[in-house]
Amino acid sequence: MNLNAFSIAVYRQRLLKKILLVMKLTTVIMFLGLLQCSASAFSQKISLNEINTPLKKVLKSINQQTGYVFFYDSKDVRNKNVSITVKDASLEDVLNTCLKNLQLTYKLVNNTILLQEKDAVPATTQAVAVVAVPVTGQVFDEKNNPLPGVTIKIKGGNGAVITDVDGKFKLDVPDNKAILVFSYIGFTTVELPVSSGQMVVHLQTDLGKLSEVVVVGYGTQKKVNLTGSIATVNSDKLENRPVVNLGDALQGLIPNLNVTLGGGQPGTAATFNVRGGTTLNLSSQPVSTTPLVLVDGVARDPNLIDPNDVASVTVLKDAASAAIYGGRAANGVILITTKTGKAGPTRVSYSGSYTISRPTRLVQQVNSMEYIKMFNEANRTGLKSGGYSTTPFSEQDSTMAAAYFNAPNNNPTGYPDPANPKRYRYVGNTDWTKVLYPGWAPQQQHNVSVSGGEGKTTFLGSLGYYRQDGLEKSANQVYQRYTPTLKVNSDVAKWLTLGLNMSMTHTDNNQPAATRINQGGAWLYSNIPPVMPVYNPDGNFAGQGNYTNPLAVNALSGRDIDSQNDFWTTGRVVIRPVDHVSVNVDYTWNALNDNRKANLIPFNEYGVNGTFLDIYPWTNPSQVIENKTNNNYNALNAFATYENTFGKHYLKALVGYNQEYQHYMLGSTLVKNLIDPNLPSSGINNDTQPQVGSVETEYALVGTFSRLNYIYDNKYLVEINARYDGTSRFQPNSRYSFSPSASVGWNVAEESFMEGIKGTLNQLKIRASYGQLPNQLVPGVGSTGQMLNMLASSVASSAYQYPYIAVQQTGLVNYLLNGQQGIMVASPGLVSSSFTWEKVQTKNLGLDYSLFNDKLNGSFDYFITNIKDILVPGQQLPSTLGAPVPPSNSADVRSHGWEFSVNWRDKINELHYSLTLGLSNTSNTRVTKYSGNPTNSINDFIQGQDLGNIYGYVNDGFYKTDAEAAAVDNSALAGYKWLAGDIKYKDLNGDGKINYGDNTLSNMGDKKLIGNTTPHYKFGFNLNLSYKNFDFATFIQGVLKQDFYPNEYVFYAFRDDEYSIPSQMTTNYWTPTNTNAYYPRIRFSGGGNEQAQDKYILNAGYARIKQLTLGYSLPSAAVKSIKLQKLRVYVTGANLFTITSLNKSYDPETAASFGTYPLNKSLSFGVQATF
Amino acid sequence: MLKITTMKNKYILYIACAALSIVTSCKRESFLNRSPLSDITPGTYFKNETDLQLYCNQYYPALTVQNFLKLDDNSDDKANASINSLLAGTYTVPSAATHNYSGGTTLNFDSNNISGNVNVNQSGTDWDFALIRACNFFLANYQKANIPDATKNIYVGETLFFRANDFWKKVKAFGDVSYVNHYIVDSSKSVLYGPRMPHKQVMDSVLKDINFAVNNLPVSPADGRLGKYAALALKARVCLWEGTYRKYFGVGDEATYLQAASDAAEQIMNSGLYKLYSTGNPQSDYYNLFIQDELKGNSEAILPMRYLQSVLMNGIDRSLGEAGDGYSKDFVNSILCSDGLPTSLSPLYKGDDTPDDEATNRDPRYKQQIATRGFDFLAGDLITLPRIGTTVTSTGYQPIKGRSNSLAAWNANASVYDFFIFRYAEVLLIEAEAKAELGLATQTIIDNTINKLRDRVGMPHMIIANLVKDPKSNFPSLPVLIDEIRRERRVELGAEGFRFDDIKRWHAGTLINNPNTILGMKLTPTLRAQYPAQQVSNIVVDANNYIRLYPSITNRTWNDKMYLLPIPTQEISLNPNIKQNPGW
Repeated sequence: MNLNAFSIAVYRQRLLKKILLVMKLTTVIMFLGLLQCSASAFSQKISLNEINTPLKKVLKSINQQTGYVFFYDSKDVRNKNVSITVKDASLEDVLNTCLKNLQLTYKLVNNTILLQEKDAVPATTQAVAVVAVPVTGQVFDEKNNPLPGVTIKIKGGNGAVITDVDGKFKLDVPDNKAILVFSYIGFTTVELPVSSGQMVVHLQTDLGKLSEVVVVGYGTQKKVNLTGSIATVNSDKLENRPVVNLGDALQGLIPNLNVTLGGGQPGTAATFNVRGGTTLNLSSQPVSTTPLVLVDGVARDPNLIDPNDVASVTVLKDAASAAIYGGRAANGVILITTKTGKAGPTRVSYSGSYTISRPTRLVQQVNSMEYIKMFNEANRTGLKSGGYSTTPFSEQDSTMAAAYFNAPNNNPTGYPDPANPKRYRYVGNTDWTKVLYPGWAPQQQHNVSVSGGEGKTTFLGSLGYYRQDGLEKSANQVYQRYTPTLKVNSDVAKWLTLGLNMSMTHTDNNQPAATRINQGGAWLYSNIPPVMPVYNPDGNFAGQGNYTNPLAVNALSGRDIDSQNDFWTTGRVVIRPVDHVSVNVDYTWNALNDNRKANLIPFNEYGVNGTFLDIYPWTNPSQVIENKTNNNYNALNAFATYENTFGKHYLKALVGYNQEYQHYMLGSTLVKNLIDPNLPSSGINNDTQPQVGSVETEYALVGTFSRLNYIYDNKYLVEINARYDGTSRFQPNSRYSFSPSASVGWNVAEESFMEGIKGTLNQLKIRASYGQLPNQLVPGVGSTGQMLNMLASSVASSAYQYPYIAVQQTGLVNYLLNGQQGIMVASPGLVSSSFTWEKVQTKNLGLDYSLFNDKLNGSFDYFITNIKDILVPGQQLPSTLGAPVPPSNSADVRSHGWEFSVNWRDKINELHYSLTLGLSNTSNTRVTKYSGNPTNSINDFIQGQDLGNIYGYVNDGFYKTDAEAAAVDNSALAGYKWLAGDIKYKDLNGDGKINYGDNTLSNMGDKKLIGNTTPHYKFGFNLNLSYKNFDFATFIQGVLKQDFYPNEYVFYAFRDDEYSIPSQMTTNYWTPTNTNAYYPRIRFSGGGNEQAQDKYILNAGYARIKQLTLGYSLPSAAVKSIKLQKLRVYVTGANLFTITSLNKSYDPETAASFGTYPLNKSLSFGVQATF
Repeated sequence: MLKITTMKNKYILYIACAALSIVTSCKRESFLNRSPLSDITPGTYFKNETDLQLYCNQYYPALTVQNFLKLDDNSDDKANASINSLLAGTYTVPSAATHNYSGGTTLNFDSNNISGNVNVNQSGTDWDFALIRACNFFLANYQKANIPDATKNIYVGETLFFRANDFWKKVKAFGDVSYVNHYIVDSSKSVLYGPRMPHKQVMDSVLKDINFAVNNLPVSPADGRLGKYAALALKARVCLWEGTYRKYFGVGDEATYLQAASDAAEQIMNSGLYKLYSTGNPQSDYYNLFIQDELKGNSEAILPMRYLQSVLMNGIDRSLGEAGDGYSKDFVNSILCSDGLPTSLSPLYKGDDTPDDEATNRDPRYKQQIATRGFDFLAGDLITLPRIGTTVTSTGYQPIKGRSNSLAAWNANASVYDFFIFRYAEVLLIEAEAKAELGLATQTIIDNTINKLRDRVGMPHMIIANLVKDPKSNFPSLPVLIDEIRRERRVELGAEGFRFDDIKRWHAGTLINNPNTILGMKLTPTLRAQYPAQQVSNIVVDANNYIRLYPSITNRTWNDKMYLLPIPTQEISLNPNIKQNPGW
């Protein structure tokens, strides 16, 4: 039996979950106004004038006039026409008139009207009803939320009811052996025998259910009918975790949706990538590419969305699915749908959590004694071998440092320098990492929502708040985000629906200005020696002008305050002029305003006994930077859909138009010499040459698109897409691009020959697709490509927006002309006028399966991606050109991969459980065409080779004697004298010298291919359990294999120079008495030993428990007694455990970008309540 | 039923029409045509004098500034705590050229001086043609301006000045260079893949460019801009370098250049605009000249590099105090005694057993460029013993040109001491040397040049007739006059960055072999005992108690390949017509 509901509002209601919120009084008042409007929607006055109209249409009309919802079996109303003319009639009258001549009867339950066929023998029915056994009960979902709207029917009988808002039902059954059937869209249908007393029924969500509908480009589609590679995650996977932004929440949930965390600093955005897609850019580095992210159909930054507001996330992975979005979708599409109000009584929900967090892993530096020992050791080597050497620590330093180390309470951390009695020589012992990241930092989040609506109009309003304190304690960074939203939908007439979405993200980020000037703003300090104390013996901040003391900068220099308002409004009109056709027009307007003010305050540095030494230079003179950014963006989408079924033929056609325009403006001022450094206002200055800057750019895009879906007999599926795009980024004759795609599917399980095993194999679908998408991204500006993060000035720059037009930059020169710094206009760069869109081609082969009553389901996809005509410097040219070579469409790359997911869901008695495993892999990206590197230099892309290749030497142990080292010509690697304990590389080409040849593929000397940095085998594993009122969830995510080539100061002692501080891991170095060490002899800038080599290629694979949640829902009786509908409390741990072979100084998730702000591990305590 | 279908079809037709109209309107050129709103594009530029001037401003940071920091570390004058890799023989061929590109344009020509970070031996940076391209782009476009030719030629003169200076630097570094004298683009294959132009031919073009600048730059330029005399100073410098190079490398045609150097120097001298800075205090004038807050208007400044409080400041004073730098024993030995005789001959020389002895009875420029007892390191922190064993000095001969006791100047990056770009004293030295090399040096010439310098510091005059060959001369086979002019130049221009160029043009690389060039002061056991033991415990001395800076070697070994820097390997593999310099 197929139940239909035709109220759009109800339809949405069923898809959405219930969340309970509390709200500030003012907001409540605001919504009360709305409630009054909608309360009048349940009207009893009905006017109809229908002659021989299909019953279905008449019922729809009644629904629209009254708000009452009809439920019926579609076969009961098929081909039944009625005629009725009434004015202001009552519901009862109208229904009686309508159904008079039909074999139908109705029943009113709350606001729902059930239509049923009249029993052949009405009298008997009546009789049965009289002797009926009354049954009552309540229906809940897995998390003990009451489920309203569940249909309960008597198996083989005629009774049916719908649960009320509290999930309660009451029904008369013929006898106590009756079987009740509970069904609800999105949930598994269950059959239970009636039991005496109150029945408690739990329904399970069914994601694999055939009826599930997923969001696709410009519409929705039944999951069973999809032909492209599309993956979806619903809100239940996103909630309950202490995540800052959606990026954190999505990590690992969808196979081959790669989320890279930008670090743990408050306000840091995550970046996305689908299927490892990379392109090449001008800096000779492969660039990970960003998919198009659409929030309710509008391109937005997903990092600014409150995860609590998200209803579902869909990823369109292959070109065929994404093709409808054309030029911006080359790297895949992420569709985010936010929650919507649903008809019914007003609900107020609250969720909140309090979290404490600390860094996952931190660099461990050596202590003062190890440091002095290693420093002097490295210096001796330098002196002995003609390598770098400097002034070593004196004996006095060592003696004093040892005294302090052994008895810190009785010894000073510094003593007056013999060379300069005003200054201390430091002999303390400071663990700077610990000083900077001493403990736990708090976070909290709250979300209140009010939703409801009756009949024609539904609404949802919410207010989210998030606050995070930075982990670097002395910085006192506070990040706050406010996310008010309002969504209203109204079915104004039977042919017209109006919708309005408004949302705003307000963020405040308050941090030390030092982070902006990159002084004291590093997250991990590579250059503050452990001998330096935080404070001089006399109490002033240590540093003395030699070293930046981050605590001093954090405490004494100014603040950097950033405040941002991102305001979005979308108005939507849906017109249904005739059956099967709907026309959607929506217009979005976005204003993004950012105000950033950073001021620098000079402070003094002191020497022995508080002697004034100097003013800390990098915050001097006092200054204030004020940047005001205004970005206006608007988009128009208009599309028409036709959908119909002709017997076994299903047809859906879409045609539409899209237009976008963006206008960016930045005004910046930098003034120095503030009259009062503590009053950071650009107007209050004594600066004779304040700097004023502005950037203004525009961007426009138009596209037309169409899609055709055809299904025959629910078995054979075809989809064809086409899009024609034009962009302002290319010049007129190369600005347009056509992108076609096609996909087919075959529902094997629907075939008659599968009938026998239909009970076991619920679904088996084979899919194939091919598509080509253009890419209008311009290389050379990093990975942030779309409309996101317009505050990244690179994206708004002229070079990005008008890449085919050379501009002459302006600026100041470091030379005085007429007593002021000269102003200059520079020469323009070289541009190629002919370049155009890159093209991304994807072939995809997929399989969806569902077995054992949908208990087991999942999918598998294999894909091949070819990116063609990538914009790269056409050809490497001699430096005599004097400018970077302009890009042209001249490179191709290719990659392939697969993704697999499996889900098992069942229950053992009252223990419900579900296991999900996602596993994916993308091959290395192979450069299939590239002419920019005629010599095949291994420092550039090479045609026929993979991106991320690591070329290096083969480690053959250490030289055992100085003579052995001297006998080998290593001069190409390092000019100093090589000694015992330096690394012996294998002479692969047997020429008696160790060198890199000319660094080309054909002659790389003694180097060879020793690894590749591409990550392989990413996985995510979910386990969900619920038992009675308890629920448990864990989520593990990781990468199995990734070559990592460490090249940082934590890996090699004194990697850069004598100022870099060795880490604990480097202490196992070669000495004449420790010849079996992991590391070679230590040197300052010992470049010879730090060559890429096989021994030091590490596996950065890891598995991390991202989430561990235990929740408890209070029993409904207890909840009722405190006037709530639902109350759940939970505790969640995030990133608590990590398995990796990397040293503690590296976090495997951020190893490749070492030095970023550490990631958090955290513990949260949360509550969810519904009133 | 049929009727309904027809009705539906009609609607579909409407929709289709609507869709079609949308599709056809898609080619919305006016909507898609967007051009820069806040950037200058070449099509509208170069229309008036201001445009030309603002464009030329970008060249100025490329001027070579004598700011003392690390200058001459690559010579026999100094021995820094950190050994110079080129002279130590450990310099490796860079794989690629380093560019000053920024955002697709050439914004930053401040590659080697303003920021105070001269890194010698930078063949990667030197093989960069961004400034040359900026100059050539100007030359291809300046004619668009609707202004008198004389005005245009001022800016052409500036452009050619910088182009000449840059090519001269390339010649000094690489010998033959790729000579690009017009605007090229990525398709200009014949230029991009052409061979290097021979040294002499490049220098002839350089001289032509400079002559244009001399002839067209104004005598009284706007504040800070190049004028005729700055161009003449460059001409004198370049021509002396090229003339002596041609002479000592035996490649011929040197007379023209030596004569041109002399002519240019004389033009400057005869202009009457410049004279040596002096307040009549021979014991301090020379030192004070280099710690001037304002060199604009200073009679010795042909072109100063100026700094102003809160406008443009530098951190050189501070850096010099912490550079671990030091003059070599060889440099110190070369300073005359106060009687005008070399230490090997003068009865006044008291030996070098103590730092005080060594500084006694010497050319006053000794104490005015080397820290001796009583020098105020910073705000009353007086030096007693040379601060060896610390970051202050490596050799014990702490250079103090540009170093003051001022706290204001010590504040990092807050000093406003000006530096010289062209100093009149150098012009006098050029005149003396060029004339001597031409065999035309008379006592009058010497009186007008060398003896002016000596007058300032109270040294006895150089009298040609009385000159005696120094038995410990670095140039035993040279005529005594040229030898002594070279000594005067070495002392007067100490730490100003000329020495390695001089060694190259004199074909005198083997000076580097002298062990004294990497020795420091004498640290006798008696003297060592005066220091805190732990401060000097790591200092190594040789058999004669001179500080050995680099204990692994007793002397450096000159290799003739060091006369030229290597070309980055990538450039050679990209352009087969470019061959590596010999020995690399």
